Amino acid sequence: MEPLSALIDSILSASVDLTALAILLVFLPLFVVFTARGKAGYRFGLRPIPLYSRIRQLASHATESGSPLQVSLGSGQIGSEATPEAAMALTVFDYVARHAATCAQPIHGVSGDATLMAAAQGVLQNARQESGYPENYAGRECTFYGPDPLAYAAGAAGTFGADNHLALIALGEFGAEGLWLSEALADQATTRMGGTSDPSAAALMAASLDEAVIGEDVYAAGAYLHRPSHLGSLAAQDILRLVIMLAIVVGVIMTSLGYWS
Amino acid sequence: MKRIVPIGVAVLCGLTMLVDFFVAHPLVDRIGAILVEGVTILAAFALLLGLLVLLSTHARKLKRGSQPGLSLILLIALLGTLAVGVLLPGSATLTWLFDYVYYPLQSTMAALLAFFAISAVYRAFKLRNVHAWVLMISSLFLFMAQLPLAAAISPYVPMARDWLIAVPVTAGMRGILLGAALGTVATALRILLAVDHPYA
Amino acid sequence: MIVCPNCQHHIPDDVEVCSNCGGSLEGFLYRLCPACGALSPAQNTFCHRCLAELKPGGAALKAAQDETIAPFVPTEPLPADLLIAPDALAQPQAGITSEQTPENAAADAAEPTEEQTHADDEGEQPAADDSVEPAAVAADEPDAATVPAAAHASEDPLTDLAASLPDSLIGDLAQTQDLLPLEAAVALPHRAHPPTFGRPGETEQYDAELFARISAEPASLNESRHVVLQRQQRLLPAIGRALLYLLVLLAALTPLLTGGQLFTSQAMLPGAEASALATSLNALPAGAHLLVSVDYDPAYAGELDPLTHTLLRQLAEREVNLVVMSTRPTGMGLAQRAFGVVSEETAAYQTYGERHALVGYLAGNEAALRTLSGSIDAAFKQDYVKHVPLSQLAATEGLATLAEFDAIIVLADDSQVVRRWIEQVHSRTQRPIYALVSARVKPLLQPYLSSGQLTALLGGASQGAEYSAASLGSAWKLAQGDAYVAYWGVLVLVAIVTNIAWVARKRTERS
Repeated sequence: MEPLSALIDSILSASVDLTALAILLVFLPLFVVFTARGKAGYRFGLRPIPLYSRIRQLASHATESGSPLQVSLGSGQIGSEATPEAAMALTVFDYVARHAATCAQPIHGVSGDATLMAAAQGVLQNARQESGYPENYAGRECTFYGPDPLAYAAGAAGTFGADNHLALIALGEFGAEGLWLSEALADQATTRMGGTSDPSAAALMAASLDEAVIGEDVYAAGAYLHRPSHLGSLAAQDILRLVIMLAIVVGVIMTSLGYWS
Repeated sequence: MKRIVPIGVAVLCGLTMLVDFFVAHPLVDRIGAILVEGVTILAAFALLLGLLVLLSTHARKLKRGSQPGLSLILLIALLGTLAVGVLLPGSATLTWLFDYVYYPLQSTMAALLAFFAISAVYRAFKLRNVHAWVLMISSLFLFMAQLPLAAAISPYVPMARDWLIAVPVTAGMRGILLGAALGTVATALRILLAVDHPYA
Repeated sequence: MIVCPNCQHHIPDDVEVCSNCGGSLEGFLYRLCPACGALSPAQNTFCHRCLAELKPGGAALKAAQDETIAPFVPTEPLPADLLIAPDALAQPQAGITSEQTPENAAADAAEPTEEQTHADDEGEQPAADDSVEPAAVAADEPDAATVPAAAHASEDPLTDLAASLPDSLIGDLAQTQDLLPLEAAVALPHRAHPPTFGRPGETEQYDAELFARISAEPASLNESRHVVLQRQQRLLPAIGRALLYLLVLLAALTPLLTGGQLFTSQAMLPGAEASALATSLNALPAGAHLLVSVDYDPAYAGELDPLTHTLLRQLAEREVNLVVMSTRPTGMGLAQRAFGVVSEETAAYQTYGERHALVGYLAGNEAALRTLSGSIDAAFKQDYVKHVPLSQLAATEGLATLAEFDAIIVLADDSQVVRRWIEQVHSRTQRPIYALVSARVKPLLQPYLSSGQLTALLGGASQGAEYSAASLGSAWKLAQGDAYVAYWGVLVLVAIVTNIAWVARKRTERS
């Protein structure tokens, strides 16, 4: 036990990033409480985000028509700082894939990162298996066009036209390739929608896509696509946002009055 | 069990990295470094998997006859570059490939953005609402303000540009980044606490 | 079994809370088929794959209902217009059924329906009216034994029917009787009474109420008002697109005509940020160690290469030690190109390894940067050009950690790359970081400059030209700069044209 207690002592005496820890400690209880309420069936009010309504409708439409949707998952590597954005891309892909899998319809996922492609394959395999059609799973439904963003955009645009897709959903981590992909498909009479959290890339995509989300709206995908646990964390985010707003206002006043330098 | 094990591993690794972020301790740092190296190795293997998927996709296209020419070019270019990179690392051949194939191709692809931006602007600049007005005026002004002729027009133009970038643009960016950071934290916590597992 | 919407575990139907995650099962999306294991939408009663019953204990419930609920027996005879009444068909059926259920037949024959009574009053006696009613009523209790008997009894009904019709009505149809095997179809037993329905159970009642509630509720998020229609027309006609692209091409070719008159050392007035960077780098002592990370792709070479070349020229003039690396696989190729230019101009940098070293590509993003900040040798075992340990090169000799560098310069096309350097390297080593980035990502990094985490921040070709004007004494020009001005002109033109076209189109639509 002595080495263990020595280890604990040494960890406690080690330097800790107190600001980050404080933010986490404020957020964690809010997150736990609201997530539990969300999972218990409490309905939180959601403002309409047209993109997610259209994704729901198009997922059903694609299932009925038999034309697949193409989900472009972006270039966010799982394991990097883009992991949360990649997770949201996978959430959207999961939703669309389950719809398609229930009726044994095709679906197409394109990613600009190999780890994301592997995860998307797992999601699709799961969806096909649970819908009772495991034999319909083919790894090639999730494709990868290299780690270069523009090569990825060119590959995604190339396959879109070739496979007669119903619509494009480009949600995840995108840079300028988001505009490239969207505009390359603008010539085709098809719906293009998506978004990214990077404001500079989102501005380009918003100018080009039929329907777009920017910034934190990307992280709300799960809450709008039938994941009750996401509803709770979204509410916790809103509370913390209010806290931050209050802190900014107080900070401005205190600094203006000369209490803080 | 099929789900519990991967989720358990993910949660354990995530929590370890979280502790490593907050605590600067040699032992924790060492564990964190091992996990981080593991991520790099996994990413490399995933890249290999991606390469195989790419090869199989285009080999199938070649066999099936849908756009076989493009697939053939891709396969030759991929395998050729791979062979040169593995057999002759840092050689003049590799530099030649970079300078005369990859570099011009990438530049051309990026140059297409200038064309695509114009067609996007054609739609976005239609003044049907206030947003379109703001977008058009700010875009044209900021673009112009970065040109050398801006200072020739008036010395206040560069000042206005600097103020716009430093105050309203930065404020907006900070707001978006704060919101995105909250979203990131929430998503990370969902994965760390096994509330959600989008990867399986 | 149903599938938990939170954790996707399979849970029995009668449970309200998931036994795995504790979440509510209200609003679950999928039901598991007990026969084939397929998932079907929650509202389905039968499996979409094998058609097995999905409801819990559905078969047992159905059997219990069959036992307890008596089959439906009509209390009064069905209206005559619902019954099949052609003479030729009714005759044999009547004979058979009256044989099977003489009581019913007799009772119904004694109580003619309203229509029959009415027909009697008008004197239009329907053919064999006494036999129609028993045929219908007797079929309430169908018996398998009656079926073959019926088949035998209806010998040739069409012949009788045809005989009773005038020749003009038969006409060409007389030849078609062999094509239509009507005899067999007519002889089949027909259900002449409504199917029996059991009394609705609690589950069905609940489902019905739920359905009524859902169908009466307004759709969430105004979905019903937002109809998705596939776009059937192109947003911009092909000719219009071609014209726009032609304008952009002309703008790009402008420098060929003008020769580059606007972005020159005479025309450019360096801004405060560019001047500060030039001054800061000029203050570096000879022999200082600088780490330069070329973290952009060739896609951004047009924007960032001039900046890189100017930077390396200025640093070469200061005769500092340059260690060059990249976190992008293609970065070293760009670095080699840039050093190719600089080494031609500056004698001190013609011999590799003396004043500069290319250490290579560092894979692993922030994880690798974190390793690098702790130990250079751990990140780079050998250099990129000669493949020798870094300790054998004069430019890198004695360098163990990043803390020993005087400054770090990051050339990037992505804000996340710069953030990684700030979070993983600056926070650990406190070394000043100069970020030279593309114009697109500069506003994203402005907060880091304000907070002091970045020492300098320059963005895009425009500020790159300002920096060149501030740092390079000799005359220089950026020929491609004229294309930027021409492109701005195209933007203004497009803004005017698109609005004129839009207004004209609206007027046409109104008129």
